[in-house]
This record gives sequence, structure tokens and C-alpha cells, in this order.
Amino acid sequence: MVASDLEGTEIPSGEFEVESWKAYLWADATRDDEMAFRYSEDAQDAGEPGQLVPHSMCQHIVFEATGGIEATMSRLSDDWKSGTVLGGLRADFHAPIETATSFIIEGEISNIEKRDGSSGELTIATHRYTVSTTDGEPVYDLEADMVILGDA
Amino acid sequence: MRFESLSVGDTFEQTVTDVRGEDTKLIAALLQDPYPPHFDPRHAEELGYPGLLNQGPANLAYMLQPIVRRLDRPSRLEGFETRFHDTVFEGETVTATVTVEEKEPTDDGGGVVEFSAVVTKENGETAVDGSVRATFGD
Repeated sequence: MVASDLEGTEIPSGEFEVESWKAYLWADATRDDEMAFRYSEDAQDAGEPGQLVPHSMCQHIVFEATGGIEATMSRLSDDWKSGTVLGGLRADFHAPIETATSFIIEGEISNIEKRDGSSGELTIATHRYTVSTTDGEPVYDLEADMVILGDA
Repeated sequence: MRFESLSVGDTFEQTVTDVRGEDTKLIAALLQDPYPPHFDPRHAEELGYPGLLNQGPANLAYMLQPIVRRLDRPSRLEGFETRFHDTVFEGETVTATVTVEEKEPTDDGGGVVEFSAVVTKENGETAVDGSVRATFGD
């Protein structure tokens, strides 16, 4: 069940880093031929500080830092595997996402909205995250819309 | 690719042929995603799926790649907005199409380019769409 009073709930903050091998395998698994996601030398040749994390891992970073998928989804629904999906993502990047770099993630459930969809009632729970370095430099901001199908 | 070489209306495509189940399983492991249809064929079949269910962030990756590969530096991707509309399954082929919608020059001779983006399945259904902003050099 999703209670509308979840709106404004702070998500426990956390720290996370993407190891080099994870970025490499993510690039492989998504058929991405960008070598800056695999090798520091290639990234530096392009003017980057070091091996980069693919942008599409941005949701993974914030979820893992704040308890993982299970914890994130279980806040919204006891039975999330039966009908909770990722509806949308919005990201603004401020700095390269480097591998082997610790990030501090803070987040909140910023909005809960009920709608009538084509297959019945649904609830959209928007999560807002800020990602920064341990020195406080902003890396990216992310909003993730989780859609809970049914009468939540 | 240079800012001045891009024009409003320019379109780029990239096709991912036959989404591989082994990739879907690998992504599930990397994400530590316990949702069974991403890695368990029997569970996917019980749900009536034609194969393993590809993860949303993988579909997002397909949408961003035609732009990132044209940047001087990957970190010049400034941001994106995306909506997930339809599921993609193992064995399906998807095509990402990005179109230059707007150009905003900057003082250094380069500029920020706004793209519309869509990932389409073979049946014509939209899996993912949205917009992407990136900075191109002079």
C-alpha cells in the first residue's frame, strides 16, 4: 500500500561507488562501444579524468546507496513484484561520473500522485535524489517515477 | 561531431539486434535486481512473456548511445528526461532514433543541443522516449 503521507519522506542517505569492472560489464551488457566506460586510458585520451560510469547506471547508484531495489520498492508496496514499474527518469549531470569514486546520495519521496490509467488506477511515487562527491561537489540530480499499478 | 555541423532536423539511428537474454541476466546481477522475469525464463513464461524482460535502464542506455558516441567526451551529456512506455524482451530488436530539435550556441563556439529521442520496437511500439541535452564543441 502506498500512503499519500509518504510524500516528503526522507530516504536514508548513503554512500556508493561503482567499481571499474561493473562499468565495464554494464557497457558490454548494453552493447555500448564507448571505451571510456571500460578503460581509464581511453577516457583520459578523450579529456576525462578517468574511467567513466555509463549515464544509464545513474538510477542504480542512488538505489544501491539508499538500501537497494528491494528497500526502495518495499517502501511503496508490500507486494511490489506484482505491479510496480519504472515510469520515468529525469537527470541533470554536473560532473563526470567516475568509477572508483565515492558518492554521497541524499533523497526523498518528493511527490505521490494518483491517476486513472488505461488499465485502472495507478499511483506515481516520485523519488528525488542528489548525488555529490565526498567533498560536496554536485555530480548529478535525479528524479525517478515509480508507478504502482492498482489501488494503492 | 562539431556543434556547427549539426542542424535542426538531423536524425541519427542505432539498432540493437536481438536483445540477448545473457545480457539481461548480467544486468540483473549488476543491479542486484531480484525481479525474476529478468533472469528466470520459467517465471517469464508463466507471466506470458516471450522471453526474459529487459531492464528499463538498459533501454535508456540504447536511447543515449547515439548521442554519447558523437560527443568529444561522454561527460558532455548534460541531462535527459525519459518515459518508459512498453516492455522489451529477449530476442527483440529495437532502434533508437534521435533528432536535433534545438541548438543554443555558447561563447566558446560550441553549444548545447537538445534532442528528441525514441526507442522503437519492431512492431512500431514505443519502448522509451524523451529528450536529451548535450554540449558539442566548436
